[in-house]
Amino acid sequence: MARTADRAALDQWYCVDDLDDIGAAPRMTRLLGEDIVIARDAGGAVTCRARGVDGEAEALPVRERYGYAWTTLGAPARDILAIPESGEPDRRLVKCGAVLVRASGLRIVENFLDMAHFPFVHTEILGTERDAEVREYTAEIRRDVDEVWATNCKFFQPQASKAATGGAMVDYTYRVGSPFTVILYKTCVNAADRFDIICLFVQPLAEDHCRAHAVMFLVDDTSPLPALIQFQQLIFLQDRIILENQRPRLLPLEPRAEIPTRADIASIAYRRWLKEKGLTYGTAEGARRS
Amino acid sequence: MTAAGGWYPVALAGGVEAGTSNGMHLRGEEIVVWRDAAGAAHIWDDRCPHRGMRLSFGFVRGDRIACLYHGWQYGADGSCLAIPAHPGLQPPVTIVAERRDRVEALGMIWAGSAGEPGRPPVPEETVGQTVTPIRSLHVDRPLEDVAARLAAFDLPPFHPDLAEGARRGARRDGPLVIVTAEKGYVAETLIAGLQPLDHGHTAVHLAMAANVGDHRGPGQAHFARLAELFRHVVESEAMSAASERAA
Repeated sequence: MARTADRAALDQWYCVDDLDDIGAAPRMTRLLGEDIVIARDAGGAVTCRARGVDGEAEALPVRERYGYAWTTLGAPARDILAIPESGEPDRRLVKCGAVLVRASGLRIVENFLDMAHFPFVHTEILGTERDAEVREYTAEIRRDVDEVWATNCKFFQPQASKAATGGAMVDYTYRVGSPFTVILYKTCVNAADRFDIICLFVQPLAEDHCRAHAVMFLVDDTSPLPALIQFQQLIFLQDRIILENQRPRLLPLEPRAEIPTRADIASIAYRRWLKEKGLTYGTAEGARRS
Repeated sequence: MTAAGGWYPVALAGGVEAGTSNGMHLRGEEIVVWRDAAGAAHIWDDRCPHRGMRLSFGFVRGDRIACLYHGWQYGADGSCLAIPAHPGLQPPVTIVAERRDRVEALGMIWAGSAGEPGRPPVPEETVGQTVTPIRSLHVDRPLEDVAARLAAFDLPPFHPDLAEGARRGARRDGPLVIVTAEKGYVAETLIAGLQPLDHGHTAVHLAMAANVGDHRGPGQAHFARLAELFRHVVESEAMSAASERAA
């Protein structure tokens, strides 16, 4: 299969595997429609190879970050997004595993930016119909860092996290670091002045098929690990029912294709930002052109 | 495309209960068939205008259907009536779900296609007869194949008076295959409504009509068995034809 011509998709770092799962035996996966092979060499370093444009094995750059292997098929101008909090000594790294989703990775990121679905998709956990209101918040494309941010988000959540013991108004900040990576800063039950961090690193296998790697950096040294993972997996599996049944499967960037409301200003900023980048991989418009 | 002007049956009327929504295919397109609490059936494109979520996953409350994703509520005319994220907002009139013409006839729910007026065919053989639903089944063959084979298939009538010497016939009327049997004062009609799911798959909705007697129970079982036999024969023929080509 020919390499995609989409520079905006190629020139990015992608999370492709959990470092704990990589051994000497090669592991096959895909990135942007290409087969790639991940392994460890004799010295223990992670290697990643693509078949290459002329059929010759092509060594790809590898970074180890946040417990995962990252690679690229292009020439990224920027490093993997920085998450300074991940270095705090009392932060707990929780890898929630990878979820396969038959949808565009862009729809997955957009769903992650959406609060309005909580009462209906994560009923009585992240939201309730008794208070489904999305209060006014701010969404912007930050030109200095080339990221999309949504700030001052507030939502009523019956069970905001594994550690929560009752309903509460929860503060959210969203940050899209690259078209396929998104982070959420969320009110922390265990420390009033800090935020729990939930990351979604999307690995586009194909335009309409992805692996979503969910990673958390929590201030929570009491909840048992399986319970933390189970909670997040329940949330992601509820989201998957939605993501696999949106039509079209690919994200339309044409403004009239879908009708937003005020609660969607983060999604509107994200779509505008993708369009400015000329990104077409995983978009309905890109599919029509090819 | 057919004499029916683009009308196709999409379900037996009793197959879509009040207060439920059902996703299905029609000519390769995804549609939702839902019935409100008062019993009226609605056929729409299976897509919420907001973020493209299939409305067939949504929930029916009273005379509205709500999308599973964000709970947006739509009324019978397709217009959005409520956006739960903004309780005080009157939804703009521009938010409208795409509707299709629909009608209930012959014990089936029929979908019209945009821009093709008309009505589903109601065969004269059934006028004055009581329609009894039988069952729906899927056949892994294109509609034209199913129609041709069904019209030629041996489908003996149910009523005992028709067992011998009945005048039997079968004809095609658009998406319908109508099989008749008649003797003296007894007349019985098997109605097969064909729904093209996509190029190679067809749903067959079966009902029977008769001018005498009650045909629930044994009459339904009689034709349900014949329908299964028909599907088995038609799909096996196609499979052996395919393996002969491969050999």
